[in-house]
Amino acid sequence: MFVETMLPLGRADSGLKRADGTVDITSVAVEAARVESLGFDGIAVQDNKDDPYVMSTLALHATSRLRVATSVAIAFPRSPTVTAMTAWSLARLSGGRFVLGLGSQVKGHIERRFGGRWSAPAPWMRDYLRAIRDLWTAWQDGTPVNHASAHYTIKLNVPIFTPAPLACAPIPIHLAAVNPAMCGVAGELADGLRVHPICSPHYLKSVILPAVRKGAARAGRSMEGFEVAVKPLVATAATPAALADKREAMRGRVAFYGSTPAYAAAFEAHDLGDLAQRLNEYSRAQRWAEMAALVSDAVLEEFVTVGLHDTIVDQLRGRYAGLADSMEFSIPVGNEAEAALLATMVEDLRR
Amino acid sequence: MKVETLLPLGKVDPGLRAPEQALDIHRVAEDARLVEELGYDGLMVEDTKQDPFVVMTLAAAATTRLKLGTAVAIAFPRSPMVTAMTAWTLARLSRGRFTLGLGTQVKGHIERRFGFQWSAPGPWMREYVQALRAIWTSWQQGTPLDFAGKHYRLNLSVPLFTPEPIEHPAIPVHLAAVNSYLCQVAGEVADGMRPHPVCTAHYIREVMLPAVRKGAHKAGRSLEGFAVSIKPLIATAPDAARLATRIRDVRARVAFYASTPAYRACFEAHGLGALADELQVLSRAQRWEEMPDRISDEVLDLYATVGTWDEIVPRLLARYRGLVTHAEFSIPVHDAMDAARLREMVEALHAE
Repeated sequence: MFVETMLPLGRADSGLKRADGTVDITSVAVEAARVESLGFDGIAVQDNKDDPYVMSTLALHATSRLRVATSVAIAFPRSPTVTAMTAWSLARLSGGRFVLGLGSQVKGHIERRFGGRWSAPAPWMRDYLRAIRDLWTAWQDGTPVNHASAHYTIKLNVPIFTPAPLACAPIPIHLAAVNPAMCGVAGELADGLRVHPICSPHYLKSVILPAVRKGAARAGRSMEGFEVAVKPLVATAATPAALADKREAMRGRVAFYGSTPAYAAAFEAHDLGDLAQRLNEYSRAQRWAEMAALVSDAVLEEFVTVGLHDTIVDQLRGRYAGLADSMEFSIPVGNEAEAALLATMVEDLRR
Repeated sequence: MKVETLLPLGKVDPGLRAPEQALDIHRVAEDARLVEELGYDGLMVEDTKQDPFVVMTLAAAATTRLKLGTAVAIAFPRSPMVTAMTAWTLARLSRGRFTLGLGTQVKGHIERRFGFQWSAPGPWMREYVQALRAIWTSWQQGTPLDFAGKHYRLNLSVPLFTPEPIEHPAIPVHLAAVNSYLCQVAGEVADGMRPHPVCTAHYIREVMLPAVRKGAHKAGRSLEGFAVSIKPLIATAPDAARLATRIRDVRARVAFYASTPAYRACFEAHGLGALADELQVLSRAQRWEEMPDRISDEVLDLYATVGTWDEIVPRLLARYRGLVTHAEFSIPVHDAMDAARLREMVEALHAE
């Protein structure tokens, strides 16, 4: 397994709440170098409170081996030409260590946060990825770009705005997806899939991977080398008492995800559509405090891997064997002993 | 005046031709340190063959004093929310050293290079800058965002996507401008303007600055601290023999600019509208080789500052002193002697 982490180490995925720990932009270089020294394969950066490409630049510049992926950058608020250029610069800077992870976001964000116009996201993302690939091919081969799709027409070639070819391998594109339509687009056009934390191993196996394979078949592509990158919900701690707290925090997280209509399919796959419905009603009534109690232990463990530090790696390997190629995992590191423990865990997970 | 440079040092603005020397992304950190060490006030980056914000990130991480800025980034292909976030991150990283320079580009690029729909650029840019300011204010003050314009309606505030306040939240916004409407918009909403290299001292004084003042007056703003950052056309070399090559290049550049309809106002202001028309005809007929000869020494002298290394700084100062706040200037640096020479020139420009 290829092992990635977000920054800072031990940062728990925050759903839509304020993040537990946000990375200080002025310490990204130091943190990234440390992640590399701990034996990780990669860093994943999000697009929430800091520009993800600025963070990627800092992390790539401070390291020599580590891969850096946006996980994920929101695509549509940037022209595909802008995103293609940014990725090209980062690939050149890093000698091919950058992965462009893209996501669609939802209607409310595209319209009311980014001021754009919404459209069905899967066809739009298909056009977006094709536009990027067409630009990259033109830049690499020194041929004119000529892209025409429902969303974009890109056919202006001006030497001063045309970057030189890259000496490294082509830039991998990963796509964030929860629902089958977007998984299909990933199978058709992307090099990997960034799976949302709420997608359980069961959902991955029964819904996501078949949809990706269907997309690949539609495009006549092989799945050879296609990367499935997971960011599992994990509750782990050194002692049972500390673990109990983490577990309860995670119960709240699962309740929050359950209340979000975009993730309903991930609950329906476990015959938990009714629970998702009820959680959604509670959230609309602002009954946040009561929501976690609706998530039973059995439901919790469908979505969350819970275990002490000395067993968590084996548990994760057991759950995701044969399903995922890369995994985001870390624990908070406050001292040398924790750093050594994390380095061992990463080594175990990579085996 | 304050002195800025692009990378690499000695880069000659190429018009629309390929530059002689491309910016090397692997050298940005090292070169930015050199620029800082040479006494420059600012390092600027264009939005051409590299992501300008990636370059700014590398420069910010490598320096401590140098001001950094895009000159300019193309605004419209990025949602104002994206640009606001990028600038905020860079302001935080650089501890307040970042200036966001924005430009509109032209219809053909927005539509056929970026795949977006075009709209009248002046009003669009005005709204774009107002949207940026509304976003930054909401982040700094922790208040909900509620911006309603013709191009953008922004009213979703989600804690996970709301950055924390920063120490230097008044990020300066500069606008690239040639024509008077955008100068007026700069006066209304921006902190500075970046005239195109084709804009002469006369044009800046007689056309651009009056428009800036009109915009400022309309918005009830003071122009105290308003930056006018130029990137003058320059032909310079160590000696007269090598200067001849530079003059030939800059003459071709002026001819190219004259043939470009977007810059016609800069030629009309000098009573050279007919020359611009003539060059446009030649350019459409692809008669490129004939174009430079149409630029007389007298016309060349209007648009370009020409002189050997010994002469160039006093000539620039004579032309632009009191008119502009920042000027972009550099010579190629190959060795310690070049570096020492450039340091002296920067100091001399800076002294006035």
